[in-house]
Amino acid sequence: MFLLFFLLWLLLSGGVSVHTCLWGAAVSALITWFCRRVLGYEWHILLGDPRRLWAMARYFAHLLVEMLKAGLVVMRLIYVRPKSIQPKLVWFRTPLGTDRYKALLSDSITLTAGTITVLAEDGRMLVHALDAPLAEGIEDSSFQQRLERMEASQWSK
Amino acid sequence: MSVVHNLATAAGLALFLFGLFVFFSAVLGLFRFDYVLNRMHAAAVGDSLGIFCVLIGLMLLHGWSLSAGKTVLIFVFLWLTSPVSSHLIAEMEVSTVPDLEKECEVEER
Repeated sequence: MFLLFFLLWLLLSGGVSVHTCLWGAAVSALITWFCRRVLGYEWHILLGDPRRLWAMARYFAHLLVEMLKAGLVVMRLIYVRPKSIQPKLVWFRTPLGTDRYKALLSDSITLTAGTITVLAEDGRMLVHALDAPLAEGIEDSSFQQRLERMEASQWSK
Repeated sequence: MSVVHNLATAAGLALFLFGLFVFFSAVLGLFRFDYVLNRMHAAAVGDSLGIFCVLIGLMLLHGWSLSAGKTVLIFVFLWLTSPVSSHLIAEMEVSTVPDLEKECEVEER
């Protein structure tokens, strides 16, 4: 976490000199201490197994591709047939256990245009889809499969 | 070197213009769709595809520098915050509308 803050400081200060480095190190140390003690942050998700880090990176790359594809699909809907869409609200059950992965899943669903997570409670999610084909297979999407695998590999250790 | 530079400039301009077109489509979608939840999808297009194209275009135009790193930061913060806000708006809409079934089909899986 210290390293992350330090890199952010260097990026925002716009140059590497002894002065900025020293101030950056001091401020980063202070903020790291504050986050750990006062806010209670822990960064297990970033530390540890490089394989998990790699899985994360692959997940975000996949998310980016899906976002761009969904954007094009919705753009086509806007131009081709905006009046004949069939919007749909779908309740489905997610097998993901931890809150962190549930939040990742719902954020991914919302970031891809065409589907918005409306509610998430007790392992169930309410998703609004702009058109009926976009809602197909939402209860077993590629995001969910990837997250399930990542969650399983986390618990097996 | 100058060929690469020219190619990057051309690709950046093309992406930038396409991003502007995406934003135009998003605004058009806001007018063409007829219900809050549907309109939010149009806005989400600008949020994801539009922002991506415009910022990547700017990065290509500007070249690899410190500003490019700051642009990546813009991506991170926008894409962290935008799903949260759209989720809150959608939740508010669904919990306050008296007869949701009239607006759209509700399905249980």
